[in-house]
Amino acid sequence: MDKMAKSEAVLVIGAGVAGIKTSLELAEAGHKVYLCERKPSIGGALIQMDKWFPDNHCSLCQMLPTLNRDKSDQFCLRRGVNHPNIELLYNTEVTELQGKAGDFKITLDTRSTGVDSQLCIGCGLCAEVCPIEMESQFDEGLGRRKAIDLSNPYATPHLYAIDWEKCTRCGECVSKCPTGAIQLEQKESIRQLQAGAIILSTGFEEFDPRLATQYGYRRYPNVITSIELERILSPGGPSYGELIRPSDSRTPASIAFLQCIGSRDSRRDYCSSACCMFAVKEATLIKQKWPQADVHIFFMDMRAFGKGYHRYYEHARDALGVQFTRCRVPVVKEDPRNHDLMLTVASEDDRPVKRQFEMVVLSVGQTPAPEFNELCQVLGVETNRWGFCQTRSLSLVETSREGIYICGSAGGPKDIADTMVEAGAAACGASKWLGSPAIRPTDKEPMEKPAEEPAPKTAVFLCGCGGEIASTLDLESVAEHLGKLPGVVHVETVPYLCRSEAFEAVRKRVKEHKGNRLVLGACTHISGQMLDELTTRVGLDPALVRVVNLREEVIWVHRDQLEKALAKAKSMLAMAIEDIRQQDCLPTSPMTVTPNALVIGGGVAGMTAALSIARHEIEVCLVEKSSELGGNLKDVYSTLESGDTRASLRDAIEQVQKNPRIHRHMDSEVVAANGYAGNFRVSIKGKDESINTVEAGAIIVATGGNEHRPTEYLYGQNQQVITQLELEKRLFAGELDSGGLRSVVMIQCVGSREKDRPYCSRICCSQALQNALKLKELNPGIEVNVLYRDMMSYGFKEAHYTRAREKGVRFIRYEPDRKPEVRQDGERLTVEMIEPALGGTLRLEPDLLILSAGVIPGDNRTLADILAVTLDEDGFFQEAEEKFRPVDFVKDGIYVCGLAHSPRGIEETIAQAQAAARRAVSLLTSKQLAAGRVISETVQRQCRKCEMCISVCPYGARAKDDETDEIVVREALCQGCGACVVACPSGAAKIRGFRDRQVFALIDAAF
Amino acid sequence: MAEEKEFEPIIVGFFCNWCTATAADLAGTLRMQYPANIRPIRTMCSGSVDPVYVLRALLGGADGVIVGGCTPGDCHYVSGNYKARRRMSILKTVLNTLGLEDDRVWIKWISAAEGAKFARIMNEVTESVKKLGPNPIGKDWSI
Repeated sequence: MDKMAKSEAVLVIGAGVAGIKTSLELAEAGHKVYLCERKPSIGGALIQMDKWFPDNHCSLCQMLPTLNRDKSDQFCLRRGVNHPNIELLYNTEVTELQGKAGDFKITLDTRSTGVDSQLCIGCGLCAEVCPIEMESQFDEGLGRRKAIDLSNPYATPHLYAIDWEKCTRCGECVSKCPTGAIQLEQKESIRQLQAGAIILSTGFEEFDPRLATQYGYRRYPNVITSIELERILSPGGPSYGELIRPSDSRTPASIAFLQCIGSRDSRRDYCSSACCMFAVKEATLIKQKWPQADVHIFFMDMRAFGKGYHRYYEHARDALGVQFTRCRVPVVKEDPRNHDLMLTVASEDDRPVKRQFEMVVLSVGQTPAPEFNELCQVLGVETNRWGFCQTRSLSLVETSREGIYICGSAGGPKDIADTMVEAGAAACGASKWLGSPAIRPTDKEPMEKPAEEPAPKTAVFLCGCGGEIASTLDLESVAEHLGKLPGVVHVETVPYLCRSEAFEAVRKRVKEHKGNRLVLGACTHISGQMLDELTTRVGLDPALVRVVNLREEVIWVHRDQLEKALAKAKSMLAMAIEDIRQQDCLPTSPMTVTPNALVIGGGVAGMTAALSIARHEIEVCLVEKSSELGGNLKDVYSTLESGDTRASLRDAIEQVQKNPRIHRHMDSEVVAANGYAGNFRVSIKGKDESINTVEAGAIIVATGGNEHRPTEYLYGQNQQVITQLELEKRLFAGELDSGGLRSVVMIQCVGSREKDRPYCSRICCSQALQNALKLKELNPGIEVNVLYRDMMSYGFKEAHYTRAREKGVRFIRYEPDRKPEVRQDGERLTVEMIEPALGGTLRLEPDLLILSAGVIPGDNRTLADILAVTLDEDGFFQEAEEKFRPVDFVKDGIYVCGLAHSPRGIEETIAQAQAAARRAVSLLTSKQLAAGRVISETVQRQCRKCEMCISVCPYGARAKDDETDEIVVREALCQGCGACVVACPSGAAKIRGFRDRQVFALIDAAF
Repeated sequence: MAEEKEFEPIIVGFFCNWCTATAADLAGTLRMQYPANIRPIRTMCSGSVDPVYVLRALLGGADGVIVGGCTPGDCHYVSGNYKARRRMSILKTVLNTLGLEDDRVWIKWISAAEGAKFARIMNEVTESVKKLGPNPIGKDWSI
């Protein structure tokens, strides 16, 4: 198979957050990525939102590559994704698929937007004259847009598109368009391309609550969806972030969130996984800004199962005063006089009471997109009974067809953190079908420093923007002013700078005047790929080009103050000219990479990571502290969703043992490490106390975690009290006489979600469901009582929860402050508890008491100190960013997966290990790492070696050289933040492009 | 007559690349109107704004300075905005000793999605500095 000529390109379908992440992963490694999107802009559901749980931060930009970083735009991702290896195909759908994994032939159909992207300058005159107003999809119908308009305000370049359904073809826009970019006829174009693998990342569609008529959505104005609330709370939304209700634009004093709208019902018996946290987040944002608001969340189970989620939930409840009530609200009624809403809810003592709210938010679930089924048919991949993509056993990303992968919500409802893990795992899977990339992002030779730096000669071009700028600003007087400034050799006004003819004109003029600096007075359009193209054409280092945004930062925002605007434009241009005059162009030194990996931990995470890396012909050193591989898997027999896992796990162990590229160090541990991404040196202590030193470019931490040993409920004192893992072993190894059992009680959350361990162990509810179902299967007459707090049967696990109830498993809830009491009366074990639903005391006499003991971190502190990475509050490893960088550390080159990161199931661990492996492979297959343009450096003669810069650098890019005793910068790791510059007391730390004399000159030019 | 002309301050803005500079761009896309008194300078991070830059601007003749960064917790570089906040509050205590009102230096968090907030803050800072009047020590000093 490997001999076959494989395409090095990959097709990613769906440019939401999953698609962008998986594309960047593969583009970084040098693969050609076709990123195809049905809509005229990218970002999916994500860019409608501003802040995410569990930290209320944005951090979207954290997804951008940190190595070889200048390859992609260094801007907020809301503006779009720009990478030379990613080709974006808007308005495009797949219509046909032929071939097989490694060599797919794909037919794509692109519908025109009516606006030629080559000609459109984004001036917006078309939208101004368009007579057709319609609901803005971006604002969930709460705001208005025109039939020709921007599909979202962030995207750069601003590309206008026609909504063909609403457009009346009146032609107003056509006659107004200064560049003739609009055509009122929708055209389709067919394109064929080849790809070795396909990744599906089409996301979800929010459930349409009109289908659940009892909630009155769209009949009662103040019943809105959670996504609509997201737009209302957004500072860029229709009310600029002011919390107002639709009927009277008043701030509602009381708000009710209703959970599970379109989830966990008879038709969709799955849980949408993210809506509980989504509601908690929206409630949190409301309470932070409007503390007096009365915010209630009505829910069935609070599914705060992810890393840090339980703390977040408790904070909302205990610190912010969000009211949580456990009940499913059957119906919403409106008081027509004031449009308030009447709900029948549970009172504190669980009686039904009527309550009035000023606004109701429906927490709508995730459903497959309407066109998803058709797409799956075209691709020949199977869907499950709810219409999401079916994945293979033990995998979250492999579809039924070889070479086609899935990530994100199209494979099942989930949140961003889990989506990001899958995006990495899908990239890891897809890369196995891809040929070696022809283009490597680092292949380009860095520009060499000329022997003698020539005097700065700056050419200035001012774009008239077809009159948009020229008619507002007196460009002649601007040009006259600039012509006198030092270093300026040429000033010229051009009608449109964003045309390829203009690029050619600029090139000629620069050459003619022997220019070596370029300042462009233009607009946001001149950015990203267009700017890359222009600088390449002109033949200048991008560091020697500055764009001054005369449109978005001057004429569009200072309409009635033209005189002041002119002064500002002159200043801004003068500042750019002075800035660039001082810019020096030094070559950076690329960093070489030791192409080996070190994996710490030989459990399922470590083995998966090692195998995934070895597949790329990379040598892996696998360190395991015990004498056998498998870790916790030794005690796991089956998973809720994949069934019996023993065979595949034995197979994994065998594969690791047989793989010639995987070098196992058993009975060993890491005792010391130094170095940095691409070049670590790690000391491994073996069984006989011998020390082995290995060099590795990347390190994967997969040290796992443990099942908690309970100290409560008579565990260890009574033979009848065992943990879920112990039960699983007895059940599946046939050591349990289930026929002889009359009654079993399971207690959930033993030691989890407590004061000492305020996190959900995530896996125990699934273990309980699996074991309860197995018991019922072996002995249908057995009585099984599960005492729980919230059943965490998220996603498709919900169906197993339903099945367990159908099979007669009883689920009885207990309150954390009134835990079940377990006693031993002679031979009998008794469990007593208050049943919240009935209020009475329940007494059970089980033959076996099973404790869902949860997951605790291993001894991570020692390793964290050795690797100089951090742990979270609970003792698990702390990733770089909770949502967008779930397997990275802030320190590059070290990645984390499995229980070392947080509690998670086996399928989730495998996916995370694949994602971590993908990150490592991208780094290790780079021959060298290029530094960015904006990086720091040390002026040695000023340096006093205080090492302040080393301590403030978040990336470990600064270090003391042992031999020379000098403070050095590892250029490829530096992200150019400038923290060192400000921290340095002696002015020795500098940032290229932001040197003091340069910034001073720039500041001085402002006056 | 020249004397009757309203005082138009010059305000230097140091805006971080990731959030506030993007918000400035978004304000343009949305055609939000704000006073043209601002002279924007793009920095990688609000944490890379050396207090000396702020002083340079004030001593060079700026009537006010505004530093704009990512909202707390959101820094692209982990914690640069927290560093900026600490530095600017220390700087404000020094300004008084130079005979400058500490109100001339603002630090604000404006995220990439907050085009409208960007425009509002630019209005507010301009109005505030207008009330303070011209920089009393501008161009008399140098660093």
